[in-house]
Amino acid sequence: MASAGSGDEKAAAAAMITLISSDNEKFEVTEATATLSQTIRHMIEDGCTDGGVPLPNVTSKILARVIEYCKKHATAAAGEEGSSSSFSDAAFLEVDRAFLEELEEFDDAFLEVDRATLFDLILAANYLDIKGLLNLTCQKVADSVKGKTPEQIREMYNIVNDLTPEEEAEIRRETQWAFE
Amino acid sequence: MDSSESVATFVDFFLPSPDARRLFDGMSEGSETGSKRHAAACGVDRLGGLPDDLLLYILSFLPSPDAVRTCVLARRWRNLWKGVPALRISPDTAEGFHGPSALNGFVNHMLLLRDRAPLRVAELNSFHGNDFDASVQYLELWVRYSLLCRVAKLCVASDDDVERWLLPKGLIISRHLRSLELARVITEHDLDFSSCRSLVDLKMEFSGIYCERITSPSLKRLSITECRFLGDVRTQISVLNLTSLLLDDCTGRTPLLESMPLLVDAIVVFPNCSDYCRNGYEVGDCGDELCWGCSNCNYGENICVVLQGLSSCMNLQLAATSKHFIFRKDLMGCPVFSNLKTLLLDEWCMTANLDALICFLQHSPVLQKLTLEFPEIHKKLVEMGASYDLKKKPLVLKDLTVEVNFHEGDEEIYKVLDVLSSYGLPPEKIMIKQYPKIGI
Repeated sequence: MASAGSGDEKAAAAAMITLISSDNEKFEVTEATATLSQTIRHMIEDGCTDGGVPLPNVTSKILARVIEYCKKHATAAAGEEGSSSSFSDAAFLEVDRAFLEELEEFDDAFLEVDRATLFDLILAANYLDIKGLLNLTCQKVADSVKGKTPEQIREMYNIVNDLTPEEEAEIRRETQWAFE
Repeated sequence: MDSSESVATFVDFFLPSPDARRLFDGMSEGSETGSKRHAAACGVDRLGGLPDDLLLYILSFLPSPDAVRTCVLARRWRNLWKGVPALRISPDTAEGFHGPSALNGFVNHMLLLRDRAPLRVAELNSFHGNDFDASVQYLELWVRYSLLCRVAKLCVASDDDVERWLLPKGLIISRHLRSLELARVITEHDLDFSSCRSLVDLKMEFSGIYCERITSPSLKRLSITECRFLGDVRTQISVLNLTSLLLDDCTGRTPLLESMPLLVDAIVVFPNCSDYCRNGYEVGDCGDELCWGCSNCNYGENICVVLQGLSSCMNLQLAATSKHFIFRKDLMGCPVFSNLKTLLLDEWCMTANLDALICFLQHSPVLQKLTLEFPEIHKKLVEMGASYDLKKKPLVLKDLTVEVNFHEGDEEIYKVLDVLSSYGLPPEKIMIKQYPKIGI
């Protein structure tokens, strides 16, 4: 019994990865969670994760959020290469509705963040190459811009218009077909 | 928003560590110094602080008219839209134009003036506006353009309640296409995707599939909903590597499913297909010339139209009304469902002595859960000609869990449960649920 138990623990420990944020905080995550990041997946494949994975571009605050996302979605992706139905199949057939709705609710709640955090998440998702998180966060920014006038977008995102009035008029004339 | 914190993280991201190099890709120096100056002056321009490739990625989620209009935001944005890796004309976007000619004008301008940047998505919806011909005038050209730009996901839909866009023969050929969605189209030529070697997802909706074959060796997921097949020819579906299949609410002849050894999930629902006997014969062949369903059945030499192809499934749902005989006829030469774990059946399996159901269970050796949906009071069927592929071996159901959903007053259900119990199904493994009462 005892030996079997320690064997299990060993297997579980072997599947854990330590992620180190820019402010030197350590996060222990399962390999299944970590490999949602293609960047980390490649590191694991290359066998260079001993002693932890330093992520100098991601603060502990953002890394904690990213891990929260990956944990939730790792369970969803678990079946991806297994013999049972995969997440993408479930989404395609829209079969496991309860499960998909739960995931959607999680994503909606996850995106309830201030704009600074949202942009930090985009950069982290891009750096760590987490497709689902990148799509989710980029979609959120796109939705905020959708249907807005250029003036509204500039105001919303503090974009300084460095075009002269003549230049702007010229661009509008060139692209008149898009403003009709 | 805590601006001091966001400035700090912003700077963090641009520390010149080797790992950060990716983030600098495609980023011009001017925009970096520019955004820092603005940051000091009037709050942080986080959007403008992103490298070009990320900004383009964000723009790729916008409807195309919104994406193009960002050209007047600031100098850096002037030509950015030209590299956006998406064309997005959603149904809402299409309806936002005054009519087909306005939409055509916009899309044609955009395609002529943008860079030939590769596309990850092209979503092309036409807008009817009382002129169907004008609304689909350029669809073929736009599809060709998208394929030239190595589009990965292509969605094409025409917009009309009656008319459909005729898909030109051999239009969709691409090594890069991964996902294809077609809505409100008609195909009169075989859909052969053999040269679309990357194609894994295919969805068709509200379309006419008037052809003899659908072929794709690479396809993993196939969904065909509310489509019409031919009434006198069985379309053969040849998708050897499929893992998921949805065939829902189609009319015309039930298509012939060829072997799919990797199939895991399948939902096949045929409430309105032509394989229907007006005289209520269990397995068709009623001999009545006026019965279109039986007289043009075209079974040919096929013992099995649907079930053979589905036999590798792990999770299967099969639904049809009483008078649709296609599944029962297939059960006369029933394959073994050696991987089947969960199964949902509805009223088509309610035959007089339950032979169809028993036959199915006999051929499902590892079944764990059976769900029976009986939304209507069952009609009596004519048993003539029905000889299912029953095995001599006794059926033992002690490991099965059964869920039955039915209407109050449907006495037949108790007969089903009695029969299942007689095969050793323990009472505690039966869940009975009544549908909510309709009306007040």
